[in-house]
Amino acid sequence: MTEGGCKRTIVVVDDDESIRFAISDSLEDMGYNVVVASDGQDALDKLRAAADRPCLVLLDLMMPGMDGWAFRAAQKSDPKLASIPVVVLTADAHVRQKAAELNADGHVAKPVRLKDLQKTAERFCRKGTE
Amino acid sequence: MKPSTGPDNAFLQERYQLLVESVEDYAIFTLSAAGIIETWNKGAERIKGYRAHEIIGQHFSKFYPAEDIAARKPDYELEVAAEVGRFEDEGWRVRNDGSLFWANVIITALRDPEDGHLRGYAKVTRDLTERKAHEDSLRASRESLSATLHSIGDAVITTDEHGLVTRLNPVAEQLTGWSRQDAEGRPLAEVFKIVNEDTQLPVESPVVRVLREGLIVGLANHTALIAKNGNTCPISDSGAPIRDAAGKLRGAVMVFRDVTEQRKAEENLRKSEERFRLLVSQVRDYAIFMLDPTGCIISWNAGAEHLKGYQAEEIIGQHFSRFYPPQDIASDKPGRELEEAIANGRLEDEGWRVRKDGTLFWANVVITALRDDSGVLIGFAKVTRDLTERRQAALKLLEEQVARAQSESAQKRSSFLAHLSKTLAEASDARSAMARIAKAVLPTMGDYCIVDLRAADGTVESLSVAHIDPTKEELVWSLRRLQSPEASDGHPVPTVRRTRRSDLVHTITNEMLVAGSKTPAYLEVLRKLHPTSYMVVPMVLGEAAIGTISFVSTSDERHFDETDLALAEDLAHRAALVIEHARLYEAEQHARVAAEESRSQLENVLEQLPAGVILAEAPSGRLVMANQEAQRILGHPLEPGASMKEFPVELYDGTGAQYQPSDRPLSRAISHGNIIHNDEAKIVRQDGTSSWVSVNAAPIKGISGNDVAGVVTFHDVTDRKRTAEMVGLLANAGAILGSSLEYETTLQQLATLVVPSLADWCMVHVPDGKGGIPAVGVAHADPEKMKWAHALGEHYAPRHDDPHGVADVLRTGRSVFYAHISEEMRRGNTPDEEYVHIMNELGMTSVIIVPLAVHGLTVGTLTMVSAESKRTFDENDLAFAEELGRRAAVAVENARLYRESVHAVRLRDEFVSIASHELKTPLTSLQLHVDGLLQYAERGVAVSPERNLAKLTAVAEQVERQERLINDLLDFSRIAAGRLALQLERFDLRQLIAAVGERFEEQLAKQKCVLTIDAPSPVMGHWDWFRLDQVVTNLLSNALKYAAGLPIEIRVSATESAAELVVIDHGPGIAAKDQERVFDRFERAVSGRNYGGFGLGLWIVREIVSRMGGEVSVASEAGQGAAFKVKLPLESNGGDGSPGTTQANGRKAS
Repeated sequence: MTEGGCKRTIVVVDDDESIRFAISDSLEDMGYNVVVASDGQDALDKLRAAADRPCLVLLDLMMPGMDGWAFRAAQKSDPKLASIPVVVLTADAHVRQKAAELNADGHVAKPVRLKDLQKTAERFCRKGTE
Repeated sequence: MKPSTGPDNAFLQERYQLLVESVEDYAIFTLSAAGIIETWNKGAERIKGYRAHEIIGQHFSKFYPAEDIAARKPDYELEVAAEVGRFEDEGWRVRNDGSLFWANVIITALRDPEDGHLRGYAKVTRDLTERKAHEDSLRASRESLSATLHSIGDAVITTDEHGLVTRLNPVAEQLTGWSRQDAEGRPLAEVFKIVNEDTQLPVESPVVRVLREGLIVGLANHTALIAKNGNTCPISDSGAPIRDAAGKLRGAVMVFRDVTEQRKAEENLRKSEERFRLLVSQVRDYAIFMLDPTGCIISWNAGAEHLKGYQAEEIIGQHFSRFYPPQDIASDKPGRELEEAIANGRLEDEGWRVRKDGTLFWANVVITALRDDSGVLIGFAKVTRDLTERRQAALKLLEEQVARAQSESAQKRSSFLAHLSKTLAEASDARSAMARIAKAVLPTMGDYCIVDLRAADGTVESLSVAHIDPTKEELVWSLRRLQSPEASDGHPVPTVRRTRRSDLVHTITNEMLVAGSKTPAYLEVLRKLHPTSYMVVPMVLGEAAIGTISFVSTSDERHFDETDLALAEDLAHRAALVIEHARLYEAEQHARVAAEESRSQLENVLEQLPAGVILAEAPSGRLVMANQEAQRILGHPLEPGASMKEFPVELYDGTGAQYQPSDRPLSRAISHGNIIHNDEAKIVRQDGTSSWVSVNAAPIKGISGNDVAGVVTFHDVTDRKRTAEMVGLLANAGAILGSSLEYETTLQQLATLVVPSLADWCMVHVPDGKGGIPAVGVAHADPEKMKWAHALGEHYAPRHDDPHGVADVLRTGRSVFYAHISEEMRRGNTPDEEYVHIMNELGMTSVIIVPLAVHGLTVGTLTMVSAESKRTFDENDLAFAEELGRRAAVAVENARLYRESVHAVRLRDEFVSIASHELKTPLTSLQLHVDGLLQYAERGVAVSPERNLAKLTAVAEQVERQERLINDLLDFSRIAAGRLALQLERFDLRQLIAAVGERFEEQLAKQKCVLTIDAPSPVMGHWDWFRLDQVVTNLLSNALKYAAGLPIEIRVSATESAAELVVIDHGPGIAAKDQERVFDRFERAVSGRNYGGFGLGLWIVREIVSRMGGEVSVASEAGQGAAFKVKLPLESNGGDGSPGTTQANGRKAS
């Protein structure tokens, strides 16, 4: 068991299927359990339905349907989900600024290097490895 | 010896070098005798722009404008310099860069000091461009000032701040006797010598006060100007300070005018009135008084008081019938007398009248009807004389005469007397009365007769003569001409007049004739006349004899006796009365005429004035006179007697506040004695039109110094004020029009700008690009009427095919100007009740429509209309409107460009953001997969072939995706740069559709879309396979993107000349307003970032199709899916963008 109920699960939210596949494939290689969602609503649904609390949400911003901003707002207003760390994953040139706007816990710029993805995952899910 | 250079020259050369080095303000250079430049200093370099090495060796004519060179001016200048040693000139010269400058040029001939040979020239040039520009502007402003001063009717002198004369206008020259040349620069006191008109002591000129106190010094009265030649004339003057832009006192301006004529006229009027008044009031022998038209007494003189016993204050206002005895009143004699005076102009009567104490007196009464210029009866003058004594004497005489008549030829004499009385009664002026009497008395009273009258100055005049033989009348006249009775010893005429006693000579002897003749000629005349008996009787009036009548018999049988004498005396008495009446009447007439003349003179002067003049009496404010100009400016006739309190116009001061009747300039002058100087006021006439006037007003003092009237003068300054307003408006227009980059705002501001100063209402029209010409700016001076202006703009917008008006101006780019709008034009071509109603509400007197044009392109129009103000636009207004139109167009163009650039920048930013997102998406996957594969390799991790295949497949897909994006971008840049080349080949469109469909199979399956292709028969054509593939691919991708999970249909068909391809989806559809836009670059009907790609797909489709001579359109309704239809000519022309069937046919033939 891990503290905070983290089962080393990471939620990847992105509208682009190829990206979802690339990230989840990479994270699974690292040993994480990955849940993918194609937009914010999908992510919320999956988070609420999940038995275990994920240790991280990797969130794309520009998505059809519910975008990153809307997801973040909904997440914060849900006490069960509010404390799950969110790292913004975007191609936007102003990624740092966007992350700050969303009050996110971190940010990763697209295209992301594998080791950056790894560091990010480890930073939020380290405890789960023990 | 001819040394070209000597020691002196070397020394001078050195000094010259020093000099030229130190001077930068002058171009100093030398020329050879042929005009070739030999030296060049820094100043020359700076002024002319040539370096020394560039210019030395060139001919100096290079510095002259082409026309000067053509006129051989450079050569001429050298010739003059060579001949007289020096040439100086000012003129335009050319710099190296081609620009002109205004130069002062001095060319000096350099001669060999030894032999005087011309060695060359020194040329010194100075750049005076700035000075010239300054002088030009100064001259322009001086000239405009001069023109103003010149045209002013008053004399104007200006001085500098030291009181030295700087300028005189022609009127000032004339009044002071100083010419402008002589006067300029002299102290004002020398040129403008003024003294107090009464004391003749020098007085301070207003300018001294102006300069000392910096205040406007108003009209000083009783000042006389002593001209250069010593003449003096009364003037009125005023002075005002001249200040510079910083408010510093720079001098003074003094305005004065000669008031001699005005004074003279006033004086004459005063004198003649005074004379008449004195005459009337001091005459004691006659009761002279005036009656109003009803017979009530309105004036009373000393004579009346004396004669009738009433004081003025107790009788004025009473009816004159109280002077008649009761029986006359009962028979309404007073009334009849007035009626007769009205009918005949005059009535004379003798009869009993009643004094205040009830006593009766025998009165001679003359009543004269008084009428004004228009013939309206204004009253009566009544002159009454007490003839009681004379009547008694006359009665006594009559009794004697009757007695005599009875004893002699009674019948004849009494009829004669009756005849004479009638003659006398008929007479009104002395001369004609006397002439009649002189004739009437002959032959009864002798054979010839002479009436001698003493004039007011004491001389004696022979008033008339008569002779029974008219041919001898000239002889009688010659008696008086040859020898004056006054100068003849013992002549009866002077004696009788002096003693007032008649002289009767029964028989004239020859000795008497000789004794009475001073010359033989006189005696000869006497002999010819042959007098045998004479009577000389005095014409007595009061205490004096006013003349004599001499009766002479030439018959030896007829000798005068006492009876004749009594009759003669009675006759003389009656004649005297008639003469006195006539004199009195003439004096009165004369006074009246003199007063009338001076009044009409004054009125003439006032009529001629180029300013409006209104005179009103104090304190009633009743109008005395208003000249034509006043009535013209006020737009209303002003009748004398009208109350100025009911002024026919509204008057507003400079701040726009309406004057109360008591505050108006004339009222203030009359009621408070204020002098109003050059107040600006706006008048609004009864017809609604208005003008600005400059107003002066002042009280007029009577003889006793109190205000008896007020005068206001004013002239129309509307044009001047408008011009100033226009200039101010234009100056502000730039700032106001440029204050917004929203062009609708700018155009509304434009409309607001011209109302109300220039137009009563105004509209700005700009074509909307869809065939409409909506009003984008509307303004009306009257807020109440804005709704009508809006209604006009909304419901009756001009149409692009209108032959006239706004559409015409838009088409031609030329202004339209209707100074006067006819009723027909106003109603327009629209026989529509509502239109007519709106136009009636708005009104339209004069119209200007100008283009808003920039870079030769008419982007809109400005329509200015005058209505309520009834102003007629003129060429100035048109020029102003056009200028405003130009400035507004520039502002609009700037706003439009700004908006377009903002839109372009926004699109670009958005595109960059999307491009970055789109390009990074495949990169993200690639990066992760490649990193993963690298890691496996580095760590030597054994990976299953499936995993490797999955990762490498993903890599391949992303590479392909990246390539598509990059191709899109390349296509975009190719198309945007016009470099899209078509490779035409002949194929069946169905094959291409099938190929694309096949390629999409996997993706369709993934997206759960069913694609139906409906292509019943082959559609052959000449097209570019690759590009058409792109078209179909993009349309299909588009359908898949927006309508995943729904069926998609492609239909292919052909007509004789065109192929038609329709891609139908059942997605969300496109709203009508977005349908045009979806084909634009970077545009997506659905906002933002919800769908991948650049948003270039449909734009690329449209561009390719149009290159092949076809067109693409979309039919859709929101929620109903979309059908993209591509129409392609079967024979594409190879890509110049036009359908070009000719070329396609040509290709086919080859």
